[in-house]
Amino acid sequence: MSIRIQGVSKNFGSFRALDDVSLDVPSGSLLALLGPSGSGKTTLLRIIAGLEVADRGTVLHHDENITEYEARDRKVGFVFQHYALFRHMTIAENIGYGLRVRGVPKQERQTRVDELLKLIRLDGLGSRYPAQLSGGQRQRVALARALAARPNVLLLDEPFGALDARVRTELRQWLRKLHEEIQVTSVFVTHDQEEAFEVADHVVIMNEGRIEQVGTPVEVFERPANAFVMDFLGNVNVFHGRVERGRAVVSGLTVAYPDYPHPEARDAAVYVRPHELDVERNRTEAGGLAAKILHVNPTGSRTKVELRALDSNQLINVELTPERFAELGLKSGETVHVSPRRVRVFVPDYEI
Amino acid sequence: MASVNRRVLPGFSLTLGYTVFYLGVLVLLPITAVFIKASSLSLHEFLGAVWTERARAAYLLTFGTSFLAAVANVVLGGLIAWVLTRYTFPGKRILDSLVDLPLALPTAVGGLIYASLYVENGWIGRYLVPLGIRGAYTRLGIVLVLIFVGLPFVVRTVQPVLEDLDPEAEEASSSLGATRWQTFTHVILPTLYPALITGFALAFARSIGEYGSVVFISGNMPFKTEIAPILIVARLEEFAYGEATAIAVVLLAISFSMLLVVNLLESWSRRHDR
Repeated sequence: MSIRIQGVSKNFGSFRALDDVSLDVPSGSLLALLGPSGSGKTTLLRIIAGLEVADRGTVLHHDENITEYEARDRKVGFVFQHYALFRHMTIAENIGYGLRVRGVPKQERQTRVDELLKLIRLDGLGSRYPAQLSGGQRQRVALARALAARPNVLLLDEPFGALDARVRTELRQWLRKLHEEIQVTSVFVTHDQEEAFEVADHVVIMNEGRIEQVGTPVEVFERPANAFVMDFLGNVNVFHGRVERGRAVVSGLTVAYPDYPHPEARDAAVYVRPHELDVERNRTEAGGLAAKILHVNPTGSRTKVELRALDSNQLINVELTPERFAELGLKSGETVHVSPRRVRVFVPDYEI
Repeated sequence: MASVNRRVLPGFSLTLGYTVFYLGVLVLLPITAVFIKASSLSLHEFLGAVWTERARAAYLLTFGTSFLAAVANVVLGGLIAWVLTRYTFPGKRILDSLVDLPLALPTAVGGLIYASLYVENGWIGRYLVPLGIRGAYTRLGIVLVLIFVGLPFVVRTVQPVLEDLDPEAEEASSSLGATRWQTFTHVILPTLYPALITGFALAFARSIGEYGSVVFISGNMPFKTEIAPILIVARLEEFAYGEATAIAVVLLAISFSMLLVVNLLESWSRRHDR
């Protein structure tokens, strides 16, 4: 079932949590709301769930306006970061709760609970209490509880935030697989871009109560809509320079920038990801920034080189393949030339 | 191999020693003295002292009124704790500190005030007595003052548990389709059971031992409004020390077994916490 959010705003006192947000979640998709803390992503999720009431705007489920519905009438499954299991109920009672309060007969309830226990690979543990399970198991129970009454929409608020790294990776892959199986429209909130990219098929990037960009993981990573998205999605080197006549110029470096053909020069920020920078011993024709190597970290799948530009004293991070690094034989203290293979230029909006 | 277990703070044997010593001197010794004094009576004398009709009526009244007052306190105290944790309103802090007043006020004063309020021409009594409700010098009066002295115990045990309640559990319940009433009975109330039972036990125990307030409101009529502690004092005034301690022993034994049951109930209500 699709979700449509239209012009939703929400203030907490003087803090603007959401500012005229509109978003379409197609039926059956798995969508991530990604953003730094305070960006409004959790508030948006809670408004979809009916746990928070929007000051303005509407929420539609499959063209039905549910803005005024209470949480219990929305047929939404909600998974909390800290599980929010009922401590005094067994695992089976927790999972069956949504059916029990809706008056589903015991026999039918039992069948559904057993089915879900199998789905979350906890069959046989139905009579335990939440305190007797590990964090990962508890979160799976919370998920099963949310799914028990066959909700139209599944909402997850930082579902893996409280788990340790290994369990987190496991559960991500499991959620992805689960979604392929049951195909329920799902929205989850995360501040971890890796998690969003790994699990979701659509990513919504939020900042300061607004949506910055919506797209597939590839789209937002390869074609970030603005400087915030570029900056937020992983490490990036920012060079300050100017644009004019279809070129961007940063100290010794010139790159083509056909989006700005005007003759008058304007300040611009040039963004380059560390793996899109190359290091040469000698200056090439395309030009390059002269920089001194400060530190080399050869562990990991990519060799990380930290440099300082000679003229601007700016720190530059470069990631090389181990092969390229071996070929160059770089040592700290050496002076080399850094040149980008690919850049993104963001010209700030006109300001008076 | 012996396991080595280093604690952050030293002094286990020292603190345990003090604990045992103080409990011994402050609690165990006086109680032992009661038992020793009572054992100076022969079995026949003992039964003669503790199982008279007047004594049985006093036990029944003591435990009956204490039980009723504790039940009332669970309801009222639970409600007050709920209001004090769930809502913000002007004067909340004053109300909050009022709850402790029965602990600080000499209970005799409480008893006197209640008695003067509920007598026929008292502020409250002048409206209730014509309706046939007599609060002074009756069993109802005893229950009223016992509610007064026991109230803080329930409020103060339930309050911290309510404050620690996970608001997400309630949200989870409502998003799973529960009505507010279902959320209250299925999710909130069960997590309060241990605290409510503890509060009940404290209020109940406090009521069984209460003397000062009851003596002023009950009228102390044998068979009718005479509670066991007052009977003990009556015996003491007759210089029947052995008989007085014998009644105390019975009171102690019943109280102890009742508190034991309550504690078992409480630990059962916590079974899910491992």
